[in-house]
Amino acid sequence: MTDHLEKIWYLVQASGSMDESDKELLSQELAALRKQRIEQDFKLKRILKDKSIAVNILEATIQDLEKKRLEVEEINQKLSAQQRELQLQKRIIEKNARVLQNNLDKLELSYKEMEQFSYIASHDLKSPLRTIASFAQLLERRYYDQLDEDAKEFIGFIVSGVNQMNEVIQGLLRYSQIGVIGK
Amino acid sequence: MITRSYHCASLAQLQQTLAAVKTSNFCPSLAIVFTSVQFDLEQIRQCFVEQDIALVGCTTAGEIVDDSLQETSIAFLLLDLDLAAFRIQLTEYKGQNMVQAATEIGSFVKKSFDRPGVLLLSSGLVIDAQSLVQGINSVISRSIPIYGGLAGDDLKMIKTYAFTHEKITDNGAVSLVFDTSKVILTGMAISGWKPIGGVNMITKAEGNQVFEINGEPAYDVFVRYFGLSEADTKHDQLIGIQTNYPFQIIREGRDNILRSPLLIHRDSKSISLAAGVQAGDRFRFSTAPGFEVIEQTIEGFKDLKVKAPEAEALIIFSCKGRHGAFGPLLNKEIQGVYQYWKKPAIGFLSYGEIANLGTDQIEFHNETCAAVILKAVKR
Repeated sequence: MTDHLEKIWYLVQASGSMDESDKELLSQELAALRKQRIEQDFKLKRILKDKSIAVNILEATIQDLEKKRLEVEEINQKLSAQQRELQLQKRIIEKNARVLQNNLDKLELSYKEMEQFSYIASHDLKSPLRTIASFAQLLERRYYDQLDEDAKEFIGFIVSGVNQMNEVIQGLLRYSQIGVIGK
Repeated sequence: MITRSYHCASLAQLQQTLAAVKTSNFCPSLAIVFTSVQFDLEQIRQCFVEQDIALVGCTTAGEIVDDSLQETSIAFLLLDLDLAAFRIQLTEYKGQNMVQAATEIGSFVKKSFDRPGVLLLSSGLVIDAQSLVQGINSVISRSIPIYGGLAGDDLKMIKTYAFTHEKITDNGAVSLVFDTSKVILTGMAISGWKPIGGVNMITKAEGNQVFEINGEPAYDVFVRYFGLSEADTKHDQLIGIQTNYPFQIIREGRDNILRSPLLIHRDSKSISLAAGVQAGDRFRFSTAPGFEVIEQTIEGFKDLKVKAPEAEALIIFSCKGRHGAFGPLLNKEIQGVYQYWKKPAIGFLSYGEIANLGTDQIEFHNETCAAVILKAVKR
């Protein structure tokens, strides 16, 4: 617009058809328009530059956010894989724990069986022993005068053997009870 | 206090102006000078020394005089201030650690006056001005008014300078300390930049230099986010990006703070920001605000007008990034701020500003327009 006014200005000056005060006024108006044009040109240039830079900054921000998103996704995938691995290991541990518990149960049962066996064995073994010892002692008392020294000694061996056997059985019983207490 | 603002297009004009001042009734004791880096700073310094005027100043990326923006000029404010009302010191930086410099400046400020206020002009492209401000306050053990800016070099991004009547430095700060019982010094800054995109994290940094963002080389992230081609990474194309699109550092329970990427290091694939950051800091990129921010900024300075209704001089620090973002319309912002007080004003387009951003806390900022009011206390 001001280019056209500049031309008009030169034409007016060349024609000499305008008085000095009008020329002055026109000159001032033209100067104001020139200033306005410079300001408008600057505004337009800066707005375009700002727009371009703002777009670049936002694009770069989006790129960086996308990069971060991919990094987070990769980390999530790794964490998921680790979680799966942990779950697998947990299942194995749980299975092993079940096997171990089963074995412990079996072991406990074995202890109980052994305890029962020891009790039964000691009771069953001690009963005939008591019979042997009782009758050997009865035989010695009733027929004491009829027995020679050898017979008396043999009866003594029988009673002594029974006592020894009784101690062995008592030992076995204590041993089985130690196992039960230790458990 | 009488104050006058000037701008000269050459050293010869500066000499003439100062000579004319000398022959008038105006006897300035202090000059604040903001100049394009293209002028011989030593000659400028000499001009003021010859007139026996104390001097503080720095190079710029554009100069502000009253309500207009100048390019490649020497802008200066002359003040006939009581010599007992101000003190000047130039502090050289040793390395990039600001602790020693802050301690030195803080001690100087502390011993200068009971109620000091500081105008701080710093050279150095990559200095941690935030640490400097915090360090000065920690030496003084309380918050004092500190306003100022980082010098510029017409966007060459090579070397910036600060100077006094005694010395010029490209790696140091000039402190002009006022006795605020004699001169009121108050100001504020306004930004307007908005965040865009997602939250990023600085994963490796050392001082101002950022090596990695989100675990990726910082340079690669920068190039990718701004869609820069190999050709775009040449100085001229890159400079607009650097100054217009700062990082918004996110701070828990506080407003974001802007940090412009001042230097791009292709070799180390790193970026130097305008202040120190740490690994773990989170940030968002930002876009330049709409042109309505010019009106909003002018409106925002009403608060300063309420706080300081009268002024005898106005100093404006406007980030060079605002010039990049607002172009010729930046003049409207400068005019708008100037109109509140209509007093002699100078300022410059800076690489960083020190002021309070709508709160009481004075910090180092980028992309702000900061205005500082000077006024002698009536007795």
